[in-house]
Amino acid sequence: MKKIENIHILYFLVGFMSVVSLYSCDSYVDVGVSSSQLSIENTYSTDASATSAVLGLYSYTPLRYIMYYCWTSDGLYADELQYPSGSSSTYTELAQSVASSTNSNITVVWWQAYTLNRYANLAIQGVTNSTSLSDSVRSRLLGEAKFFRAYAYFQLVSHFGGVPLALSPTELDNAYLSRSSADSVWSQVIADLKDAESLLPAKYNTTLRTRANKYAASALLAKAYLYTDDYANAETEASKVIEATDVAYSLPALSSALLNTSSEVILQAATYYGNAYIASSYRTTSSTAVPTYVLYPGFINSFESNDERRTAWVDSVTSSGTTYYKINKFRYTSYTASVNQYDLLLRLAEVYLIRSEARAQLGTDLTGAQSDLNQVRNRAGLSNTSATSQSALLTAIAQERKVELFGEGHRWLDLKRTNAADALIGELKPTTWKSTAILWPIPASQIDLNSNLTQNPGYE
Amino acid sequence: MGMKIIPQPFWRLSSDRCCRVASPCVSFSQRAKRRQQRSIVLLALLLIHSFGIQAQTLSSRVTYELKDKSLDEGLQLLGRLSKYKIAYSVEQVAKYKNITIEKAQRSVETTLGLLLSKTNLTYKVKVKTLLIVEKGTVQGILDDNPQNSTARQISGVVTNGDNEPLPGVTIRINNTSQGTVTNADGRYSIDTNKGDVLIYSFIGYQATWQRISDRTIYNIQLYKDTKSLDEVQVIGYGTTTKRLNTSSISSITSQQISTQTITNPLLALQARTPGVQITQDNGLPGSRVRVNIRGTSSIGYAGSIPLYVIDGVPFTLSSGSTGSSADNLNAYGIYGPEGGISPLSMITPDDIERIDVLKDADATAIYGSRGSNGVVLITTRKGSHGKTEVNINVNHGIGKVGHFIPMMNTAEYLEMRTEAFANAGETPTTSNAKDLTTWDQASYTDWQKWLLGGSAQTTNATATISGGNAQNRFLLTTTYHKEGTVFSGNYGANSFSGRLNAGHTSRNGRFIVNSSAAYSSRNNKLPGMDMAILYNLPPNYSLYNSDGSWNWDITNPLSYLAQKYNAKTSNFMGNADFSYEAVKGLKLKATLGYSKTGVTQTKTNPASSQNPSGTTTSTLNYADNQNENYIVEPQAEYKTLLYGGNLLVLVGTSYQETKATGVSLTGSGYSNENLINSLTAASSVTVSSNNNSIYRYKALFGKLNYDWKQKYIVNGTVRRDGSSRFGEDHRFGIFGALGLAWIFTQENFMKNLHVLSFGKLRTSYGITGNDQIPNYQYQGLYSIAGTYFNYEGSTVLYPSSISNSDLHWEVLKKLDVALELGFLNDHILFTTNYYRNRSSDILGYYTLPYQTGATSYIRNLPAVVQNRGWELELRTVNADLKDFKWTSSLNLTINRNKLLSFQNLETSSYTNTYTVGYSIEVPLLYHFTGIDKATGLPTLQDVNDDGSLTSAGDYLPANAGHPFYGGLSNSLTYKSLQLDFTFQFNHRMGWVNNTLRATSEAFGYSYTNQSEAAVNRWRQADDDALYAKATTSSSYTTLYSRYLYSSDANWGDASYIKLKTVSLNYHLPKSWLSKVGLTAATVYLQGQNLFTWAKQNYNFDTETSYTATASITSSSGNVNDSNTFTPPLRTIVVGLNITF
Repeated sequence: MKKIENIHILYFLVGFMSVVSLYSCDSYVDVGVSSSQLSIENTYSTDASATSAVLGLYSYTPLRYIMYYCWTSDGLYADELQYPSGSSSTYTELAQSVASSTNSNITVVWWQAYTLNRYANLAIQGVTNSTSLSDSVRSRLLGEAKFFRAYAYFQLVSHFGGVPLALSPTELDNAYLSRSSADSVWSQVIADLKDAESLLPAKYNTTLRTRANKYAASALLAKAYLYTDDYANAETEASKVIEATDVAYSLPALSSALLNTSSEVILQAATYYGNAYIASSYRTTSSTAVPTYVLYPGFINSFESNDERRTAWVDSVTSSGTTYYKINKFRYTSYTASVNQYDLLLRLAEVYLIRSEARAQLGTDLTGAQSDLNQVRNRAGLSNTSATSQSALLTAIAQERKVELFGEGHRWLDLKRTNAADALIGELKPTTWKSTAILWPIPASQIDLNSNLTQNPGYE
Repeated sequence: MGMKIIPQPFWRLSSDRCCRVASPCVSFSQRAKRRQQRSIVLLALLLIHSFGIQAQTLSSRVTYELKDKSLDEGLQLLGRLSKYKIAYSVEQVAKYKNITIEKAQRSVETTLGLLLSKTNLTYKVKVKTLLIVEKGTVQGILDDNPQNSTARQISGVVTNGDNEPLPGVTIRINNTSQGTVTNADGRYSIDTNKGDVLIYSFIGYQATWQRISDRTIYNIQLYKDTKSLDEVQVIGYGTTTKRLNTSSISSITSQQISTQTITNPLLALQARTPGVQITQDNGLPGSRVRVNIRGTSSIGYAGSIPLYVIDGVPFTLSSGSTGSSADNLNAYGIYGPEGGISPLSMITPDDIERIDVLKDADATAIYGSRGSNGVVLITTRKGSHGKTEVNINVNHGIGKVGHFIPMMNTAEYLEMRTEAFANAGETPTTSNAKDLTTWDQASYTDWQKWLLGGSAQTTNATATISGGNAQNRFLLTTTYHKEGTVFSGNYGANSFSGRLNAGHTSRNGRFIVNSSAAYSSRNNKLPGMDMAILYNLPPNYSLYNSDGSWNWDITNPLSYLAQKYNAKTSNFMGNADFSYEAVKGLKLKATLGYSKTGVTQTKTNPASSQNPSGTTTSTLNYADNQNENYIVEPQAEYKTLLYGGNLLVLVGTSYQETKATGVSLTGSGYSNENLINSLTAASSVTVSSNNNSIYRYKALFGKLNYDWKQKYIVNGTVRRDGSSRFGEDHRFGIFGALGLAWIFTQENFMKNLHVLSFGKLRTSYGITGNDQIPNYQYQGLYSIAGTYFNYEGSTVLYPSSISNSDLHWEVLKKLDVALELGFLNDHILFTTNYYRNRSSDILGYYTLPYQTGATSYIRNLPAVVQNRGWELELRTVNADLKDFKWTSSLNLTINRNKLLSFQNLETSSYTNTYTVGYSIEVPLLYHFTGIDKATGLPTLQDVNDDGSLTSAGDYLPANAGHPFYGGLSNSLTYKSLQLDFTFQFNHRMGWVNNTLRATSEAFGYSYTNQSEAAVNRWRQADDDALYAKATTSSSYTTLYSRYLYSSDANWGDASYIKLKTVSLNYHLPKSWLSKVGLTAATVYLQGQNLFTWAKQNYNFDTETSYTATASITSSSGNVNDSNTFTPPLRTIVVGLNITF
């Protein structure tokens, strides 16, 4: 009997352990997520929360930073903006077009573009994997995510040349990628925009055009084609916008052209701050202070004598005997919710100029090119262009882009893509300009962290 | 089955002969060989089987008949019938043949007697085996002539010195594994033979030996063991003694706690526990106490908080916030003047029976990963089986700041300011130098006296009632504590705590339940800021303008006093331990625990306390945070005697959940300041944070402990841990440890060495894990961006963390070797302990390339950090006379920390923080190369010679010195008078002048007074000055900041010695007491933080100032090394303790 008892104890101990291990299901330690957070899967399980996540692409900081730092840094690099204070070496470098690989503004562009890319990657994966979204929402969100991924790479490739194509939604997969060629980045931009164009609805969901529609994709696609010298496609895409019938795009009077209610707007981001972030750098609340960025002294001479933009969009301030010209396009410098200007991504005037340039380049429809150009000129109170030849037209278009789109992050990229930068900036900033400055440096901190990254020429 | 394993010691008796076991016949030597090949665990399980329960006696009756058979055959038959195994040498019995025994029912004993009656053989009972041996071959204490003895059952009661029955006393027959245990009434019975020697042992009591003669009743008294070697030592899931312990543990008891005037029980460990460093963030009520056991290994992120276990229930409140501050109750709340709030501050020191700090892997492995940073076991007081007793302990005292920083007076201050302007070529004006122009040039205020010069009144009253009988016991205790502050105004904390502990043992002693419920609450009222940080106000500053209004030339300290901070903290803890002895030796146990700890805080900032020149708005910060924690731990424990040794097998499982919830709100826009405490009166309420997190943890664990004759002890632990902080593939980790001890003084060859009364060599090695990181870090998550970012009226989500499925346990490998020696009958006990802990896969932040879209994440860093060191402990009884007793205890710890490796350190964000080959606790600093005699400016070395100073290229590791720390305690008793005092010492390197680091700006740069050291500044060309010149020039801001904050100019010897505790007790004579019906009464006088001899003069307290460990940084709340916090006070109390 006693022996049996002994065995029982042995069996009991062994049994106790096995029972305990069997019944103590390991899922006990799977606690999921905090009640103030959502898993990726859960985020994309309802139309509303999936939309909230995609709205982060518009409102949660990376887009605003990319726009701000591209617009201002590009302006400084080109013959558009000056940095009168001179106190920060970061801005001074940019103003001299000799940014070092540690320049923090350039680093921010790189960082925030990839942050936007990450948000887009996650959204693309989340929306694609979700089985519970309504078709219309799924299609729109996927289109928006692809639109912004394209926007991020558009800025990256335009400034840095080929960059890593970090397309995996698993962030760590992207950590040590090396640079892809500029061509493959452009291909990705175009592919994403084509997808976006087919996925996005034609109509805006609100009156204020604060979410990307089909035409926003077409406009950015036209721009991408223009930048890659594919003029036929650029013309086609631009035409889609200009000739749109389900949304009425037009060029209103200058006074209301840049307001958030403007019929010219193709896409704007309606963040809480409006566009006060950029506006407060171009002008100050005080009428006597010199803003951070002012127009190049010579820039004011670019306007034809009766160009209404000269008075509508440019203001001046005199400080210590020097007159500074400041950009007056964006006027709401304080952070309040009642602003009526938003961060403007795409507007019709640019699309006209894209089509005009594409037509001029193709050479088959110079009249059409003139007509597009005149749309923009006439709105500014100028008569029709006198340019008739292809080369004269191209010069006229470049000039028109300069005076129409200044302060909106175009000038530097226009000079680059038309191979005008070397001569023009070289003449303007002879002591500091180097032709390798055409590409921004890859941030040194990033090469330190990822040895697979190679530096652009001139910065090693 | 039915095979027997014969214990080795016996086997040697007849090793040269062919032997036989009656059934079946297997050679012993084969078995022995086979056995050796078995794994320890398997062996242990077999042993349990074989030697489980002894109830078979020689008096069992068998029907036996033998007709003309050999003795060999006769023994085999008896073996089969009796269930006894009978072992004998075939050779020995071969000569006895032709034996006949008539058929009859007889006892086994009688039958065997008949069989052996005509031989020269006798027998001996060895467990369930009967050994047949030649007469006279068995020697020793045991009666070697069992044929003459009679088996009998003896019984009795075991009591303690007060004649109270002692349940659970182990009674063992010497040199056998037979034994029993007393029941709840202290009763026992056991079958013995005359001449047997019984050993009565019980943890905490001196073992007693009793030779069995003709009597059948043996009532035994056991006396408490006063020698520390045999005191109970609490260990994970059980108890042992210092003598038998295989692991590294330091303990203090209520006796030592009671000599100290403290509010946080952890402080009782200061200076008394080698390898354990305790630092208090500041001296305000509730402030955090950091415990660092055997150095830090935490790089960047993972916490190094030990596991706190109170009566078996974990009390580490991981709020899911940052690792190193995870146990702050207010991690998601408001950081008031006291900084982080220690959860342990809710445990009343008076309630504590003992605290055991488990340090090595052998001790902590049973707690798995939770114990990787060490374990602090807190055991609360329990009632005793005995008469009802009431104890009242009341004390009252005052606390004052013990040391003020010597600051410059008005004349010196104004001279410095004037000089600073002159050196910068600037002119003092009424806008930039009010102190030199508009303020009274002659007035002087000692701001430290004004801010901190008060006396903090403390009152502590504890009443305890306890009692019980043989089966039940209870203890009810309640404490009221009032602790003032040294600030002017009605500030301070009132705490109340109550605890009920009850235990029941069933009549048969098999079922035991122990439970307790405790509640404590504290209401802490403080100013909006620790006033101590204002110690460097200009000495001629005046609080009021001539018209009586507040002087706002600089931030007026009255505004901080007008801001009210209030923290209401409460803690409920309930736990129950159930134990049922299902079968003798086998106990089924369950530990259940629940705690709920919460803190509700408010901090007001009334408009009237704000500078009227700006916009003034009344605001209220409100935070409410709760931590709920439960644990369920079913266990099975099996204890048996085996081969003269004790075997313990424990298996169990743990389920633990910690839930943290909290909300932080800000109310603003009050129509009337008097409504400021009401959120409803605020026109705007915003949510600052809303925390919600769950942490879960489960484990399966097993432990095996075998102690053979208190000579060889082996202790093995295995544990499988699961933590919710890791992804599916890495949730579980298997950890374990093995400890071995050899008490070599038990060996015969040591017995004659009388000087050495105790000697033990022990070692352990084990692997544990660490998961002290915030919750939910392994998965990609979206968070709410906040109202600012709402888009088109809808909320916005953004990806807040990246998916990192590879996140896994940090691994700690711990090695421990110790030698414990006792001399002169254990009057001198000496322990030397070497340890080496290595942490790898360290959990920390790691910088990611931006192309991931993220900046950093928590990962396992490819680094290895080593802490190794020596702990020495010497306890001596210097005098042990009738009227005079004097004991001393000295401990010393030498810890050396080293970063052994760190892959790609250069490209990581840690490159300017750590250096491979150096301690992670040593800062990297610029090297100061002196004051330029011509300019008076400081000069720093351009280490990489690139023409500019950068942290990346020019930092050098600071001089680490040869640090060690420890304490010396003495206890003297003369008749009824008892004196205890403790010194604490710490030899280390650190910031020499903390005030310089606090401001890190040039002398005279702003309206900031400096310490007296600043008079040694450069004044004019060729001055050979200690400090750089005073200047108001802003051109040198960076230079001075580097010079004073991050250079070694201010780095040096920061050692100190403190007279930490003095306690004088007078026990009133019993003769007086009995007249008034008292059992005991003691009057006492205690002092805490009495004197400090420190190298650092320019701080309030040396202990709260220095980054003793890397984890003490300014990242959490008010804590940093600039040392301007209210120090732990010099407190003196008088008290009375009576028992009736």
